[in-house]
Amino acid sequence: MQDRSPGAQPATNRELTPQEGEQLIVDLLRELGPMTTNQITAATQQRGVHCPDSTVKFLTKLKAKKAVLGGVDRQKGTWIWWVEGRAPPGGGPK
Amino acid sequence: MTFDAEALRKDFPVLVQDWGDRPPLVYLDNACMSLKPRSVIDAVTEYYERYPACSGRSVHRLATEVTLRVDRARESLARFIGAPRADDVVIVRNSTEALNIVAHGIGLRKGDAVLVSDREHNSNMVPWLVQAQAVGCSLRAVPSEPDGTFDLDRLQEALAPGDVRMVSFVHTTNLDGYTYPMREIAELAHDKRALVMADAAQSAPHQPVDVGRLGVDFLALSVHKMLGPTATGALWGEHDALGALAPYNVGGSTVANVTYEGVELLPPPYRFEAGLQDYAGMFGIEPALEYLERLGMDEVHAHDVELNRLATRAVEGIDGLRVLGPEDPALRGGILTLVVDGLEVHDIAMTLDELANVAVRSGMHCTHAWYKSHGLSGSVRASFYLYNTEQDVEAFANAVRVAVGILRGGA
Repeated sequence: MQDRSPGAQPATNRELTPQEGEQLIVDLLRELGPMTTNQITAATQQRGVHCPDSTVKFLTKLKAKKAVLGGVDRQKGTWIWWVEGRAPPGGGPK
Repeated sequence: MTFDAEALRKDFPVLVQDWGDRPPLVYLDNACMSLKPRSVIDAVTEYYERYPACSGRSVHRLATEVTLRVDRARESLARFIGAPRADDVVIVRNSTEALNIVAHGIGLRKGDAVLVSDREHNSNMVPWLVQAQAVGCSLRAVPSEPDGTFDLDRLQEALAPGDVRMVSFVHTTNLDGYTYPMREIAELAHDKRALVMADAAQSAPHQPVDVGRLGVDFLALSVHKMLGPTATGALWGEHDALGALAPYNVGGSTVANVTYEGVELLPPPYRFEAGLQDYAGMFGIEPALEYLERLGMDEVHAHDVELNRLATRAVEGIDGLRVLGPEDPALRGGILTLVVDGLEVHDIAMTLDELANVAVRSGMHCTHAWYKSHGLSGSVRASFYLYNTEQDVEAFANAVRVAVGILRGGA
């Protein structure tokens, strides 16, 4: 079993604090534009970190707090996440 | 239908609230948490407004009323599961806590083995795995058949070495709703002198559960899955088996006498209920169980199965959709678990919520070991209950069809 206490986490996959996770995701979406859940997961893994809880649950909390927006992109056939100012073409799913 | 589910909906405030621009709520996450009827909400409120005191300690009238209500909650739990004695029922927060009490309390030793099914919730895996790590006992998962049913011959094979101290099986699995033949499991286990625990978190809300008929030694249930207040549950133990458990959480209200030299614990159930408890939640247990008893558990079961049968038929033919578990909906109770090839399960669930106000569960449903061993990243689970209707099933199936179409880029 993996010890999940903060001191025991491998340096290559550190769990972010909620504040760090929110900042990273908002920065990613500002920098890269709308992303899928899998793209956000891959981007955080590339940086050697992961969101608190699971990425998708963390994202739904950020959406409820209105820190990020989310919706179904009918053209791409996937759920996407974005931030104000970096909406997908057409302003994002309604 | 065996009762008028539509008429029951007015008892559940969340089902009759105004959602504004959104469609009416279709709540199909009942395997996680059931909705609460007005009678339960009123009972919880009554505690805070009229009797916000402790139980089993003080002698003033507020505390006495709380003590009486806790006694009634315990008696109603005993009646509901056919337990001969109310003092064999420990009130806990959830099935998880009940399973932990037993896993920690039976005194497992190096060389002992514990058997579980291969479709256990983490709550019936992790406590045993932690014990295995701590004392050197082993945990073995007894495999299901490829069609999702269970063959008792597999259990006999697993019991054959003679090292099994405990058989702790889920009664109805939250993965796909299959109900294990618990009475037969208990008989085989007892023949080998093993104890038997049933995780009834998903069976007690949906079908008659009688500890005498099941023949088990311990049974765990979560009242919040059966209309009760959140974080209320119960552990029942056969009188001698419960009395033999060592409690791991002790302190106030668990003791008959304490000196600087030692402690004399109270008998069960009190030795397992340390410290002040969720008395507001306990107030809500009796009305929740009374609500179910008024409807009849055979009728609740028939209703859930009928909705599952309709839902299974309604989602048939959706491109790439597969239902997990036994083919016959009657063997899946009130749970319909599905995957859609090529689509992310969370995307489906979020789309159902966003477009149609349909609430389902997505992910591994705390049965990680099974999903990982089957190479699946998760599933979408719709779970039905007594207030769900044919209209809910229709709305769910339509929403799945639309969501799959959109997520395949077809809309």
